[in-house]
Amino acid sequence: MSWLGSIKNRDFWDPLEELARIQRDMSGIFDREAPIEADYPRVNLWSGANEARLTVELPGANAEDLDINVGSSTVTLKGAFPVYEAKEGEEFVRRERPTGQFMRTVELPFPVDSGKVDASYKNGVLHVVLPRLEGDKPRKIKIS
Amino acid sequence: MSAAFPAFSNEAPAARSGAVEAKTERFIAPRIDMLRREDGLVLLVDMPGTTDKGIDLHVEKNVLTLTGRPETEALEGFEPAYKEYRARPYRRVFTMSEEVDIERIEASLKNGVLRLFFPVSETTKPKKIAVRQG
Repeated sequence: MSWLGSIKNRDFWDPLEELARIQRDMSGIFDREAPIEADYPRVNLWSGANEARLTVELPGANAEDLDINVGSSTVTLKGAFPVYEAKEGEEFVRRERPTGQFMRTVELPFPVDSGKVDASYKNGVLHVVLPRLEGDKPRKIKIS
Repeated sequence: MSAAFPAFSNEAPAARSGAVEAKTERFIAPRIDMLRREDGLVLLVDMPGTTDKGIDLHVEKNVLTLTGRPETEALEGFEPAYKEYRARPYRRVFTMSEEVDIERIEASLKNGVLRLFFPVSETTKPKKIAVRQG
């Protein structure tokens, strides 16, 4: 019996199992969500043929307090996380929800028509529809 | 005085890392704020994208399992250009102390924030005991 075999049989250390374990750990790193301690709201950006859609997680936000600034191909979000004011007789014993102000700029996949941008707030998520600038849309040219 | 308040222990050890694994389904541990009041505990849970239909509160003995399933929008013809979050279900498990009156737990949802109130049963509320001079 080889040295390696004897160790394996004694269930001490299996290098193949060790490699498989490392692989599992590594793949887990990339499969994880953005860190939950993030002090800025998380965004998703979707790109379509005629528009881009931005969704921002902003639970408990006051829609009026959000400032959305659209540049030619960027969107800047400014605002403050909602602060729960403890009422009389209430005392915080745990605080994980973010506080303070934030500002984020997201680059868009194409220039947008800032005059036609539409934003709505639903269930704690901000939805921004950003129509692509007319002149930037791909055109099909017919060959006569 | 503090002994009269329900002691909560958070059973989601992966809460800090952001994801909790349970069987094949993966969950996100939502962020919470907790406030103590004389008559109980207030919990604020960030669950963006979730409506009241997507929330499930399950109490078994003294363990409360909170699950929220955010609504996902199918975007036909769109490609993700930048992705920071996935619409994964939220889950967090809490162990309640015996003082919590399970029958009277209140839950309300507004703008993706779930507010839970855990009342302390009358019998366990702190009482002031007068000391008589002998």
